Amino acid sequence: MSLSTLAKECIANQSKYTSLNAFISLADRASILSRVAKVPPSRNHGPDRLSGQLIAVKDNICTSDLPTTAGSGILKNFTSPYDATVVKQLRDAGAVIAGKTNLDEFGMGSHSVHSFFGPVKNTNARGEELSAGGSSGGSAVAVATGQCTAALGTDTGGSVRLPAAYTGVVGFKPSYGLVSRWGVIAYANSLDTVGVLAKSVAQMRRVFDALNFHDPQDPTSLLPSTRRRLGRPVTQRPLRIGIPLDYNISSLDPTVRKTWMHALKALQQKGHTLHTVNLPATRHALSAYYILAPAEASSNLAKYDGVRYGSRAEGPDGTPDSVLFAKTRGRGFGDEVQRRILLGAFSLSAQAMDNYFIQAQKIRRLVQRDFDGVFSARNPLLTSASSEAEGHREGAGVDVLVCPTAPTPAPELAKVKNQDPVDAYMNDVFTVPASLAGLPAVSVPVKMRETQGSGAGIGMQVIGQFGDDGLVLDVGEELMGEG
Amino acid sequence: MSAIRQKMLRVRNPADLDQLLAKPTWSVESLLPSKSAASESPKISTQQLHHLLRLSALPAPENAEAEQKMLDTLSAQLHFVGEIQQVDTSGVTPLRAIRDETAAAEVEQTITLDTLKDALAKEQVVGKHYKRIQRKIDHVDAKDVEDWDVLGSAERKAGRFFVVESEMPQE
Repeated sequence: MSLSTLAKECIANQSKYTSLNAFISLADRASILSRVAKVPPSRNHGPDRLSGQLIAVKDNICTSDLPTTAGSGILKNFTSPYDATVVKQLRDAGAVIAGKTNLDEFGMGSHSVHSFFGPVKNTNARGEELSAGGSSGGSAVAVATGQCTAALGTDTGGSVRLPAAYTGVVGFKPSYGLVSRWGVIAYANSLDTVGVLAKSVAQMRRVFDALNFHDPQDPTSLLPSTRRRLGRPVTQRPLRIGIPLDYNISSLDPTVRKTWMHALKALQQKGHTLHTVNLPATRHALSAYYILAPAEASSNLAKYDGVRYGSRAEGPDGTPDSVLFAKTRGRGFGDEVQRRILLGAFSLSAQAMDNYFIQAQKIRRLVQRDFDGVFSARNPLLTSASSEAEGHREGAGVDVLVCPTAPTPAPELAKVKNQDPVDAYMNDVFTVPASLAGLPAVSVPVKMRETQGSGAGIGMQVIGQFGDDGLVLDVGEELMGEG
Repeated sequence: MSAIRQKMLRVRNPADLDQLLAKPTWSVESLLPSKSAASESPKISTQQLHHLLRLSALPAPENAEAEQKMLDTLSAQLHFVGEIQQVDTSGVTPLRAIRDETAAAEVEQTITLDTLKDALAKEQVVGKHYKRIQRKIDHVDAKDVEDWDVLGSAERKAGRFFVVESEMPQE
């Protein structure tokens, strides 16, 4: 299919699926088509292999030609004066930005319902309205319904993987620090990671390869010297696959458990070996995450006052009984954002600092140690082994972990809209550990013949050691091939 | 600091897998406060809530009902996250950020005289009795910064100024 036909198809789908509310703003259609038409037919590979491809960008990533709202009322009219590094990289690789996708405000949420621009909708074959997952729900739905060929999302505690699982697409969170965060609106900076959503792992790799570079403008971007030590030159096959038993929780949906077993058996049939592992800190990961992320958020969101940029509340702000800018922030931020800012302010207050915030950072270290204890590869951020023999412990440990992405398939949208705030946090139990340790993780849809009717498939997650991004994608690709 | 290697069990028979995963290991709901024993949850006083709202530059609740809802939510959140206080973390170094913690990376990122060589070369000592350092002025291309329209994104402005209206009493 020619690039122009492909682009026209995406644009037609954008009109067809308007009601799903996947986009907050769309690029001008005529200019998209004229740009795609200008791509010479020969340039669809090599360094320009994203040439003419329509890629959607989550609306918390800055673009100079379209508004960047982060799904918030406080940024509802904001357009950034510059492009984020990742957007520049996409454009340099020839991609055309299709539009900006809807999300939970500032990335805070698991169902993409906390948006100033209304909830994202995900529908199944029977036409029922389901949760799109969050917070990159708009990006996931845009990919699933063919409104773009791939999309960028951000993943702080599962925000790329969870929506991918709920909508039946591939969602990848790379190792922390591989992809630049410059121009990405910060939620919890020590966890925020730009990720990619696509229909296939092959497509995902093309986008990731365009983004996987050091950026001097991002102080958390990994240096070239560190990058050279990442990953393994050759991975011996068959692989040793880990089954983390701590991911077998009592509220795991039977269909999800069945699909998990099916996926593991399929890998075994391919010759890989299965090994049970224990990651005991998993049980504390969720609590630690909901201390760290809101604490960082309360600090990152302190700058929004509507003075230098952003929207202001009408009339005078700050009265003798309220703090200056409280009115603007009260009107501009949604409920969930205000809840997390408040919780974060508590964890950072003098009385709670040690018992909550520092304790959570210590739990974060325990989560990292748990993972380091089960992987065959040593953590390259902690050990500088130069040779293969030193870097990898032969005969012990597993190469990757395979587990579900979420405890249940996509829940009904009506149910999650009225969910208790704390109940909603449970959804992230399987995605948060990899975020805390900064590990690469991909969610791929796995379909079983017997449950084919459920359509989108069930999201299975592959987690690898830091820097083993390529291996994680390889295993994801193998899993997807199974039906 | 090194990770503890644990025993791993190889699953050889696919039928064993069914048995292995038949029994869940824990319940994530155990993190939630039980509906009956609400008194277990940490208590936040009204005064504390208002202090936190001020710290966050957020408005005070509009009425008593909204205030109670905020207190309940915060209390449930604190129960949920407070679980980690039971964990023994003595001797554990906090993980503050994901970064290269190896000795080699530390050396590479250490700022030394060599790192500052170029900047120091731009300094010269002037004066005879009162010696002081002066920077050699050469052309610096700062066009991208100088061309920045500082007021460009501001919603309310007056001439060259940002405008903030407040009713705070004049001191």
